[in-house]
Amino acid sequence: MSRITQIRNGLGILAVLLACLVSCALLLSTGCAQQEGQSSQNSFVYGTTGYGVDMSDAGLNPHKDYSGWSCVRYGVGETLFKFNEQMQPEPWLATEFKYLDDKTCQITLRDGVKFSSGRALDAQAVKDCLEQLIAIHDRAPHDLNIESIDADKNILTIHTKEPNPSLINYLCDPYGAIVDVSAYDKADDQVAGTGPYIAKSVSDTEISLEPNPDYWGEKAKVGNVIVSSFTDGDALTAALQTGEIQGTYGLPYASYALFNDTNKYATNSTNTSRVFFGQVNCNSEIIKDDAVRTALALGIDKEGFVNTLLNGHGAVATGPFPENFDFGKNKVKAESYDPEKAKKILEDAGWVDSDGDGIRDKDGKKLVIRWLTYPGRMELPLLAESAQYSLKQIGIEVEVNSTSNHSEIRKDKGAWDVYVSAIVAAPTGDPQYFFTTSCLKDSAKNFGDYSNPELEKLAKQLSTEFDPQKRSELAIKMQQIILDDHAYFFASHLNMGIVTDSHVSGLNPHPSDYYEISSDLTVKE
Amino acid sequence: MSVLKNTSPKLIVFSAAVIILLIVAALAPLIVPHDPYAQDLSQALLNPNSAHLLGTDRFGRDIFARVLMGAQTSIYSTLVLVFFTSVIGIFVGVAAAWFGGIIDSLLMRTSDVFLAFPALIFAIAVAAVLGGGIQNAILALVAISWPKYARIARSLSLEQKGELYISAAKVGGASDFQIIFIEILPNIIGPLLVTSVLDIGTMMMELAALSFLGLGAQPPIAEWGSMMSDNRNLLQIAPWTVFGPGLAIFICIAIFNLFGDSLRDRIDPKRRKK
Repeated sequence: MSRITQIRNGLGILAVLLACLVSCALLLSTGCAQQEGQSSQNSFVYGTTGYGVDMSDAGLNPHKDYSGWSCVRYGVGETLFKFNEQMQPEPWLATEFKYLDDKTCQITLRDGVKFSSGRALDAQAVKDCLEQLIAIHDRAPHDLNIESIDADKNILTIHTKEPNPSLINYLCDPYGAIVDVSAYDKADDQVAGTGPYIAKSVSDTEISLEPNPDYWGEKAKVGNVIVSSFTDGDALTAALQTGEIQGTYGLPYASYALFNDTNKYATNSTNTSRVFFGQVNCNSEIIKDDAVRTALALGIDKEGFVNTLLNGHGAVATGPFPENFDFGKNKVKAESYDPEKAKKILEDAGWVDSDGDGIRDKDGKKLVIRWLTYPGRMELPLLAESAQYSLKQIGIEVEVNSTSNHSEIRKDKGAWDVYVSAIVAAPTGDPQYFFTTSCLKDSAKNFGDYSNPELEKLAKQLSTEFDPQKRSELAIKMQQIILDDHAYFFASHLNMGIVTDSHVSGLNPHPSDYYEISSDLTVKE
Repeated sequence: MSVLKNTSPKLIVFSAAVIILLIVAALAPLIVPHDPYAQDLSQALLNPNSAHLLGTDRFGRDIFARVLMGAQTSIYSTLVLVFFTSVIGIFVGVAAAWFGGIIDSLLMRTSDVFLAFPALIFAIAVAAVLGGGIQNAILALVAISWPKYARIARSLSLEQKGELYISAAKVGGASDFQIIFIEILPNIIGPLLVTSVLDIGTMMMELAALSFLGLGAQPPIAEWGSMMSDNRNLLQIAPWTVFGPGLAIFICIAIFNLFGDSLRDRIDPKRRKK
């Protein structure tokens, strides 16, 4: 009996011990969970379709492709000047600038700024960075047109080869993010910037950020920010719904309706200068006919495209620039959707439907337009399908080729009539960029070989004009020329939206599309 | 009547269902309640209602009309695909079996190479090289699918090759061509026909998958796979835009598979005995 009692007592002690162990384990696990919960409250996962190899902005090195966008967007790097909501440059790492003459600009740098490498920001560090930029970057040398740079303590003097009125605007471009070039880690695509966040790790699909303890401005409030790349908009939608991420950039338009509950989500949006537009191929016989080009401009239902197909997440475009610019939307005139007028213009030009198949023809040639575009921007195939139908109503057959191989096909001038794409029309807040890249004889993106001597003359004037008022006037005249020639049609401007969990604040889109994560970012409990 | 007496009711029912499907697909342009390509943005994303039985898509197009029109594209494209796949495969298989030797080795090793690739992945690669379009999608699937038929046709032909009637035909002076087409093919066609019919469902799914990935039918052509792909980001907001074509694929594949099963029961002697 005593043995049994002993065994019973032993079992009892064992049971008590087990119970204690279980309780401790539970308490510990609860504690861990609480700790995790606390740290997760101070962390933020940001899902975006705007980062990755496909977008040419993987990594943070501003001197490589479009990676400067990632450097500035995610709060690691800063430029000398930044754009305000009206897309005018304001001081950032610089405090002021003045032109000593047409070709010399003196910039005063902010005091007390340090790179995350520990090096102080001075004129020599900025000079090193800008010299590396113009040595290896593809767009910057042409834009900045720098001949030499002088560095003296906090005073940076830039000498340009030609008068460059847009120099300060171009320095706002993310490729102008100032990083410590001596601390660049090629193996990890890491850079030492001056922003409120430091990148702990960088890959082609994810960036992990932590606060920069030595930041010169207001310190970052979120302990850990993860920028996660998504290639599929639907996956991004699902990730926000399930709580896998707490903020998104690049949601499909159709998904916005799922996040209307303001108790759970917050949506912020703004119009940008990213424009969805078409340029005609001036080498094409059909396109050489002004009636056809006019009918094209009249036959696209921009209102329907923006209001229904983009669910109102956009703005109908007239010219390349949106209305928040001095030289934007309402300052120019373009054809609006008018199918009856288009029919009459085609009729008068001899394009008639002689065989009753609904497609007009002239001299035995059918009115068929080969529409080249790409699916990388989800708006473009929708625009193509919408235009295909609306143009068919006026007797124009549209053969859509929506392919990711568009950049090869567009080189073949005999393979397309209209090329429809998206471009940030004023990445520098200045009108010159759009014309120099897309509309002049030697423009890299003038794929349709459009040229107009008057436009070339005005472009020359614009390139040396320093007075903002006169620059605006020139920009308006130049836009009107390309619209009157019906060489380009502008469908809509992108409305950029960021949807976040309602606990997140301080994450607002910007018209430039450059600034996203900043020290304003807050995650409430 | 005697034919019908010996035929199972299942086969009659599913044959009738297949015939109805084919007729509906053939007459689609005549029976659609609305123009399947007419856009009306003011009617975009309407719920299913009496005017639009399956609702409308983001362009305001009637989904029921597009599903009917899509039947033509999806079903007839699949039939063309299965036809070419089986014809090429059968000829390769019979030729390999009959001629033997180096021809057999060459043809069978080639088919082994094709069989080594995952079918859909290979088809995606081929379609990506050829470019989008329903014809290219069919070509891509034919390119990857023929070896299965070649294998079956070869083994069936080898069985027949040793039969006395083939020796008799040879002694009678029949040419290779005559023996293959007059003697062997009629004796092996039954199982191959069943395989083809059973393959319709799989092929339809693969064709829809290629269209779903943007490598098959191109907009605005009504095709079930591309309709589902175009509307997939509306799944939570306007589920009818995806359910319509999805349901059509499901029903169609189910009917063809059940028809194939019934046909196999009818043709396969072992199953018939049971």
